[in-house]
Amino acid sequence: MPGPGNALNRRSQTWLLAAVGLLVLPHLPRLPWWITLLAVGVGLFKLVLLRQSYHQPPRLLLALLTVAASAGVFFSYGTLLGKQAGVALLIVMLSLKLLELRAVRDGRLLVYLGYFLVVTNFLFTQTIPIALYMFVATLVITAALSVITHSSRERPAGSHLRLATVLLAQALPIMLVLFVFFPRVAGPLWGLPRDAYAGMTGLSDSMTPGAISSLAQSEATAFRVEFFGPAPEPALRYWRGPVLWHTDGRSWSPGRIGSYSRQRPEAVQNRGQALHYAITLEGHDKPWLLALDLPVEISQRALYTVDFQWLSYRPVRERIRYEATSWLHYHTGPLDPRLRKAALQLPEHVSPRVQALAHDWRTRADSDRAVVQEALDYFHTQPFVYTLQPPLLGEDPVDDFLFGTQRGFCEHYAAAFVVLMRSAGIPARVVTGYQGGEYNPVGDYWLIRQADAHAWAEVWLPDTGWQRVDPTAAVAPERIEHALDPDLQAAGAPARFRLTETGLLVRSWRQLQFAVDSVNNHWNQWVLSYGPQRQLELLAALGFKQASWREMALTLLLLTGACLLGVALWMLVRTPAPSDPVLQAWQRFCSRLERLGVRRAPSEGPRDLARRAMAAHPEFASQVGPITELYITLRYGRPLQGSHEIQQLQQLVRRFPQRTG
Amino acid sequence: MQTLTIRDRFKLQRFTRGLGPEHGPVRLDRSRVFILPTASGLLFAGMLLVMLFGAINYNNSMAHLFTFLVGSMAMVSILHTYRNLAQLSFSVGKAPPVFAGSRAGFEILATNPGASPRYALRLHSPGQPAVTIDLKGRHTGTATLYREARQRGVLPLGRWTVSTRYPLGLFRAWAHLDLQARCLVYPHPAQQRPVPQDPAYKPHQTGDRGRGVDDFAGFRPYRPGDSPRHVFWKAAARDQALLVKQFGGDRTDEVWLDWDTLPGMDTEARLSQLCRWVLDAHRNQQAWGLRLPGIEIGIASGERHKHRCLEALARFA
Repeated sequence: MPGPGNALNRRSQTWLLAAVGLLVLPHLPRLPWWITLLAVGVGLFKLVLLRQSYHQPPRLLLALLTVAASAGVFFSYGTLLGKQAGVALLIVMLSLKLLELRAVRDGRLLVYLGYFLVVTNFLFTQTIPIALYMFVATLVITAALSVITHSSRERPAGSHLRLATVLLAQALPIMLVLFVFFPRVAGPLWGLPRDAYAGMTGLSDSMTPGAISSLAQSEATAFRVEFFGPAPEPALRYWRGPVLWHTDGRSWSPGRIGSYSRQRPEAVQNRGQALHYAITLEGHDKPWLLALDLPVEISQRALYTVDFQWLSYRPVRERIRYEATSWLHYHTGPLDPRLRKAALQLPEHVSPRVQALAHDWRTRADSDRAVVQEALDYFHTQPFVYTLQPPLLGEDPVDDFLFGTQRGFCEHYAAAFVVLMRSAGIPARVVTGYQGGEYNPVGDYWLIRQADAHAWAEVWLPDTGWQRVDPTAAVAPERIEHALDPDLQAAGAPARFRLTETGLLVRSWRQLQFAVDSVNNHWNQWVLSYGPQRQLELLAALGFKQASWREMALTLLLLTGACLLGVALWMLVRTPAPSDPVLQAWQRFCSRLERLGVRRAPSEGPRDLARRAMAAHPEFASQVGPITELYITLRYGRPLQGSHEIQQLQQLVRRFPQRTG
Repeated sequence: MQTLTIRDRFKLQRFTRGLGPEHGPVRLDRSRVFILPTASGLLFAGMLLVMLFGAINYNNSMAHLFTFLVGSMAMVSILHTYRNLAQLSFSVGKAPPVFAGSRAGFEILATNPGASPRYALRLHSPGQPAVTIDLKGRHTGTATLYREARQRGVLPLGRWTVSTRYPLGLFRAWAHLDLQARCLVYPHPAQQRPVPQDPAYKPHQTGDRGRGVDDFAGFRPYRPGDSPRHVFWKAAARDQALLVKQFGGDRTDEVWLDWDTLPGMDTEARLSQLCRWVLDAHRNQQAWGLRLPGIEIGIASGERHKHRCLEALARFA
């Protein structure tokens, strides 16, 4: 049992409860209901315990509760590892520890786990409001630590918060130095738990009916683009993602053609202008680096595939920024026979109706280009509907879609179009990516959301090489001009688009949204995506070319030391002088006497001191006497008449010799 | 203040035990205050390391930022810990004499010359429970340090430590101090035992006006320090001068407490016995004298006389 000096008092316990409450709160929505219930229940129970004369719950009960709750976490998540189960376990432990606060040591452990919980929260969300909230939470938990360390009745509660504020404020410059200069290592250091990248959305490397339409319901940011120059017109804003060659009739995949095989970008010829831009891509746990169709150069270390994708060597798991160059009009050159074969691959079963339709076009048209036009006309004239929530398709999706439901999202149109083209003997493939984007006038960049996900087709024509064809545009031309609005979609109904709003309120609201997103963009660029890459760039800009570890460590050490020294000087030198001028003059007099060898004893009054000083230094008796008398008058005597007496005292002290001459 | 040579500065002894006994108030400056992390601080550092690895592993910028924030705060707290001790000055207050076998208390005066308060100053003498005090700005506080007084004589307080874990308990700053604090330790009073009635007691020729308590012996004017029980209040009520009733016995005990009446005992036992007799004589309001080899303290009575005798016993070599 803790001794009386080590027991946690009620005040410390109250602070700990408040701090833990603040820390657990943002986690609650992510947790299973029973953990939320447990945490809130334990918190309230502790509150009751604090108000009454208190008993600690028996240890055995706590031990049983702990085991039961750990088992509960295991059954809820299927594991005790990983970030979600780990945080859940941490919160369970933290809550139960609240009931077992006996010694100071328990309190400190709780605080340390609390700091840990602050950091785990950032594994889920790193927005500015959460960062601010966590700063406040850190403040409170630091104050709690200070209360545990030295809690005396005489200290007002506010003084602990003030102390924590001072500590954190003084820590800020050092934190900045560490953040910028601490050598960054690209993680992970070891295998991450399976759920490390859970929740990352983005295109996948296969396409089944409904895959993109589900993605299109998400408002999440896919990437942001800054154009160095004018932006291309909407009809040209196709952002290239995975290219799909192989189909089994229902789903599409890159196939064996090796979208991963290298190709020299020189094979493509430019037929128009080149566009330069920078992309800030959100982590999506996949290797592709999205870029404007058709990308030819990229600043990132990446592979260029045979179907004109840039692939990162590792999955993109953090937000990255890269610059790229794209050509809007191009000729991709001759078609390799291997590729031609892959681009004509058909599923084992193509229904006779589909084959007949393709054959019909083939015989009617005199060129491949005319066949393509026939197909687009067909989509345009037949009663096709573009919808985000299409009906389910049967055994043969292409046939069912073309001749049955006639309702589909872009992936249905792209897939059906490519199957028709291949049936007509024209090399074709499906390209997935994003189309469109929203301009943010506040930050001068384009925002592309997951809702902009799109699928289109590419056909190979002898006079242009690979050429983009978007059958969706034939059905719903608005799709190309306007973004889909995920909030407005109804099952089976035609897709609703974001049209230009006119109301003042709506416009101001959008303006605000632009501003918020712009701030977020800067936050992302400068804080969240500050990793090994950005650090190297910044250090190079600061003049550290090829900074070695030793140089970095030295810089880090020097700058941290300088910051600490600054804080130290500010803290230690700044000893405020007493505000009372009389006392100030007297103290100066005392220190001069001290240099003469007459040191005032703690209990010695002015008169005794003067007597001793005069005995020790009779030569100064004529000065010591008046100073002492004047001081006694001013300090203990009648109320002040005016300031001239104070000035007189100050003058006398100033004239008093500093040392024995 | 003495300055340290480079060589002295790096002596391990300074770190573990501090400098030798010093005179006068001692001000804690840079050369006296040491700082090291506490066990809890090391645990904290371990947790920071885990947080850093987590941040690196998950490539998480905010986790980096907050790990650095908390780490920087720990670094800054070193300065606060140091400042909590820096410039405090310590001096010795009273150390009232005690009897051997009890605890000697030494009053320590701690002065905070700065404006900011100092919290959780822990004064600790080896083998004794620590005292924790707070000091407001420009205030002097006192704390009493104890030491077991095992032997009679002059007991120095010896080395003691002032330390603090303010503000967060991650670091401990301390200074070893050894001020010239002395406490007089009287011999341990022995068992009660009759005083050998050598020249048993002498009746005093003139009586003992005012010393005994038996019979009323007249009035005298009031002097400060007289017991109020002896004030003649009736006269005071009649607006006369304040008078004190005097009592006296016609005979009083006068006794010589003599070293030589205790033969065959060792020195400490003899001193203990004499100590007991001095206390008894004082309690019985006797007048006594003390004879030690080479020392004689004449017949007298009262508090001062008692202390004089006890001191002689304590210091007897």
